[in-house]
Amino acid sequence: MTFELMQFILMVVRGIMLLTIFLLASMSMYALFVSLLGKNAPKGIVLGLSLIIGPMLLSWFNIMLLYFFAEHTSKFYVWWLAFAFGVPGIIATFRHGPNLWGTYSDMLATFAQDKVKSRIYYLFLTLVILAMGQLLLTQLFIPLSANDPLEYASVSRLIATLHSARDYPFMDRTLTGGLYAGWTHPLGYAGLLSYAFMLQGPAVENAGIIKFVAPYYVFAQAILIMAFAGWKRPLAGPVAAFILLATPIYFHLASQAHIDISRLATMTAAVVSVWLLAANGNLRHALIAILAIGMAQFSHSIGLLTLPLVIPLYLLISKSSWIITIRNSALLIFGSLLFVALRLIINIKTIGAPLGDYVKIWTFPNIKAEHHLQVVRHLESLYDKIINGMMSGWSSLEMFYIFHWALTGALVIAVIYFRKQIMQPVSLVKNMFWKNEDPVFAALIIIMGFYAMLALTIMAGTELAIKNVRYTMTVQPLLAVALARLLVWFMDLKRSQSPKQIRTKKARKKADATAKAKAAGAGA
Amino acid sequence: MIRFLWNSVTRAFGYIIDHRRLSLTVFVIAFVTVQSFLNTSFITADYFRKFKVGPATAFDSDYRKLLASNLPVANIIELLRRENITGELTLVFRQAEFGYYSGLPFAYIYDNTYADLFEKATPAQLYAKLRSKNIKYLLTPDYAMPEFYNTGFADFVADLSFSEQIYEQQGYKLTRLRDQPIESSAQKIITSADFTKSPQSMRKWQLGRQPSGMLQQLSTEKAKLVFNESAGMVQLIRKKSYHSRPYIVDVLQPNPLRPKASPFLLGQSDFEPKGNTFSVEVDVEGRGYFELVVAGYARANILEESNELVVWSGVLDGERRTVRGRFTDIIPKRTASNLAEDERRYRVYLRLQDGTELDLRSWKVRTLTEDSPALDFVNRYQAALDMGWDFGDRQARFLYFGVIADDKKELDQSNEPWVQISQYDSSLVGVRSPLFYVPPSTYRDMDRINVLDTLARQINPAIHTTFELSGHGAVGITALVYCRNFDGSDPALAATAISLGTRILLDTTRSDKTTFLSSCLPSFIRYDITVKRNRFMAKADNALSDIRFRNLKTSLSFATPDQTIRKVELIPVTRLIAKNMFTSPDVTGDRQPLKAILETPSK
Repeated sequence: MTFELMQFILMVVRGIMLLTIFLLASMSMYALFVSLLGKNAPKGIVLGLSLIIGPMLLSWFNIMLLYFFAEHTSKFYVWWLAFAFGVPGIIATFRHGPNLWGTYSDMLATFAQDKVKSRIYYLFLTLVILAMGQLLLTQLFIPLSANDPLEYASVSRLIATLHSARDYPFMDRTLTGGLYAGWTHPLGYAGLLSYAFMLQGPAVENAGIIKFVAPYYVFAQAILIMAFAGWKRPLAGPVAAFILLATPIYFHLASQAHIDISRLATMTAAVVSVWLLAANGNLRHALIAILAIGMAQFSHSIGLLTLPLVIPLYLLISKSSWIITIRNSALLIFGSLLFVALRLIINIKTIGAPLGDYVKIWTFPNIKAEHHLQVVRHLESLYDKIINGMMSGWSSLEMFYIFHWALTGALVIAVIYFRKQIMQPVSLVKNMFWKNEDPVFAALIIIMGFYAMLALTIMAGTELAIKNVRYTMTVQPLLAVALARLLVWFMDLKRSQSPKQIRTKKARKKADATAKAKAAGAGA
Repeated sequence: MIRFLWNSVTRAFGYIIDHRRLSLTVFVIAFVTVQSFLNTSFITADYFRKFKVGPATAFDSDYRKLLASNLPVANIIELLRRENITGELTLVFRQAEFGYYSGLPFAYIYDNTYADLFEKATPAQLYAKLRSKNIKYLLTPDYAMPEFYNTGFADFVADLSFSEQIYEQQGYKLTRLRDQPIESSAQKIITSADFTKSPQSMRKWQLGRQPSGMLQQLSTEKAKLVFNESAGMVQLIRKKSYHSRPYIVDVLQPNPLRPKASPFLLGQSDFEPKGNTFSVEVDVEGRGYFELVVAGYARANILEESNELVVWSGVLDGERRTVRGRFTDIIPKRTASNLAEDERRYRVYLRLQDGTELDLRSWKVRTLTEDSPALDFVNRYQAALDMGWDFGDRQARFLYFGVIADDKKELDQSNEPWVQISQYDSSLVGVRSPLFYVPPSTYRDMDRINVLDTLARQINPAIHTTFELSGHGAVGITALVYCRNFDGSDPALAATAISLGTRILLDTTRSDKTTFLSSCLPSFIRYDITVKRNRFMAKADNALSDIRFRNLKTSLSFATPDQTIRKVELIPVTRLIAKNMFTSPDVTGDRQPLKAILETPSK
């Protein structure tokens, strides 16, 4: 056996260890969530949430340990956390595992009665699995070579070597050997990577198991999306997951272990947890939402945008009384900020602002860094900013494929179909859409909110939010949810009534009645 | 049969027409689904192609894979490791790969410690600042950075007095600061034009000839060239499209949607090289992003073999400035071909991004160093030659020789009844192509064979082999030399087979030594060992010859231009287990590293 092969096998073994720890952390979260929500909670969605929140919470504890109990050995951090999350995880797996699988197979069994649908379901599930297989191949064999992932890896390796998160942001070259990371990003992703580094040792010529973190989050994201999009319409689940994976930019970022994968996952989890909270505004639901939003903020500095996205969503779709809604909103804001409070304080102390890339030389008048960016990325005029920046989902087909256009088309068709209902007074529309539980509405509200936010930043005269297409990708998971659910809805519509039927007056009346019932039914 | 087919077809058509909406929907959904799935597959396949991951390299470390795929930064790290740096820093304009993989100390441009380097400064001032901060190398990436072109760095690098460019690949450049500034000698202008003084010379500039050998007539709607003789300038304008693609991630290629690269606008002028290092200067005013490009080509090939080099790239913000770049003669002299010297050409042109408008007032190309016999091909490559043939311990982990044994091959049943010959091939091969030699900074893709041929003739590489044989039977040995061509995609250029003769052993042990000349720089050497069995020689209980082959040592010697003989030893002690052939697997120890010996024997 060659030396390389042995190294490789060792890496795979350690990778499996890492993923096991992640899964156990998720299962312990699952047990916690189920005990909080009770047995009637939608199990798939709760599982998806725990798969995303579990490892990120582990990362949070890892960073806290590295901050407050710095400079112990790697084993201290690795095994204490593995123990703390692993033991409840094992118990939870034995307790809830069979039940979970049972629920899923029950769903499949009822679903199997509709042959066409179940075939399509399995087709898309296969495609998702194949795409993940390809992703796994790239992680096993393709070297890490992209700019940002390598910088994150260097920072995480340094944290793992120093056994301390106290020196971050790294601006002292005597400590780092030259590496400079004067960033304000919270350490969510770096916490996961440094945990992986402590497990495998600081690799120099290899990235090793840190490449497994992004695919894990693709998997977790896929499970959550499948459950969320597949809520009461199981077929939409794998379709949505497939749409997300087939988005070229998403798959590309996942294959190069970019931070955005975990960032998108935690943001989706935050939206879903708020959607759960909206249906039932009790404190237990709020606790999960706080955790999810906190993790979304902890995963990336753009995560701070989660609050301005999910709070309006909550206010719009909450079914609780307004007092409870306000109380919960306040809880969400202050509770979730606790998870990043330490980082924000450090940022204000070191660079004088809670967020922002601070590069001194960019302030030099001769360099004109901002102008360079505007020209090279075609973001000079307002037109450019809108077409190439904000609308890149539509204009960069090579990155986003046709999914933005598909959603636009689907929405147009839906609006034409529902035109009568939309022409009703605002109060009725509000009842139909805003208070509607269907994930489509939650997803659409977030998408619209996000684009409104982009428009606001452009109006404020900054390219910060549009300078990179990776930022525009933020709503892609929710776009996949909305698109998949709309497509499946069309399919159901097609089957229940062909357009010819609607041509007679009588039939039209009947169709309207059915449509209304459907709209109400979708909400039920 | 035909009727049946016809019926089926018409029925199918009938079905489609009857259910045209459904058919269309199914078709669209199926098409989009397949296409979407292809998105992921294309990206995956692209990655595997880009990093040349195959069965032989699948388990290598990430860094090895980057080297194998000829990533510029990886090659630069290799080169810097050989530079034997002690405490001196490389100022990197991109820290990702260098920071993660090199393990070398470096300085990053965004580090506030180095902020004062980015204020406006003359080359001399910048040189002093860099030296005071202990910086010896500059590593710049293949894309334009305002931290480079809007500061003193662009002019600093263009000035021969303070630095030399020691590596250039795909736009990545490694510049080494001189220990002492030198006087730039012989700044002779080879070609120039000042449109403010001689407006007629601007007519030489034209639109739209891409250096790829293809003539592309640009539509006048897209690009415009205006000869403004009264103002004494050429105006180059490239219109903006309704939607411009800012950039495309390199490996992202969902196939049918990928746009074809749009043609660029070029102004151009040809000149002959008369020197070795040139400086290009363009007096330009305008707005937008553009690149100043130099392309070298041979006239006979009408640009087909051209090789372009971006000597300056950046964004103008309405100001007027003189942009400067420098390049080294990148076309090797065709001593072995029938092309005459003067058929080599260079062409300077400007490449504009959508929406860029430029007023060009003058331009000139100067020779920074004179062409003289002393600065001929070998001399220019001397630094690289001196650096070549190095096998550090660090490399040893992955550079090794191994054995690949083919399965038993029954070749021929001889007509002679008393001799039964079975032949087995086994190859002792360098399973990786070691980076024996890093091409010099000026080495470019063009005229590869010519460069290698010239290089090999200059240094006369010889391969010395010693090995030990024991056992009984007949063994024939052939060496195959695979030439290195310094192209990641094609490490082995050609193989030259050299027979090292046949040995007959009768339960004996013998040491053998042989030397042969190679016609090129080897990428790897493969030994084909043919074991023959003569029935009358074989022991009764042994169906095969039993030959043990061990202690293979290979060294390579070559002459440097100053006639010093340098010798590099490769010690490929390998596991010599070949199926069916070597009956004793205990011949060797495990794989051992190639040791680094770069010795200069006394003259």
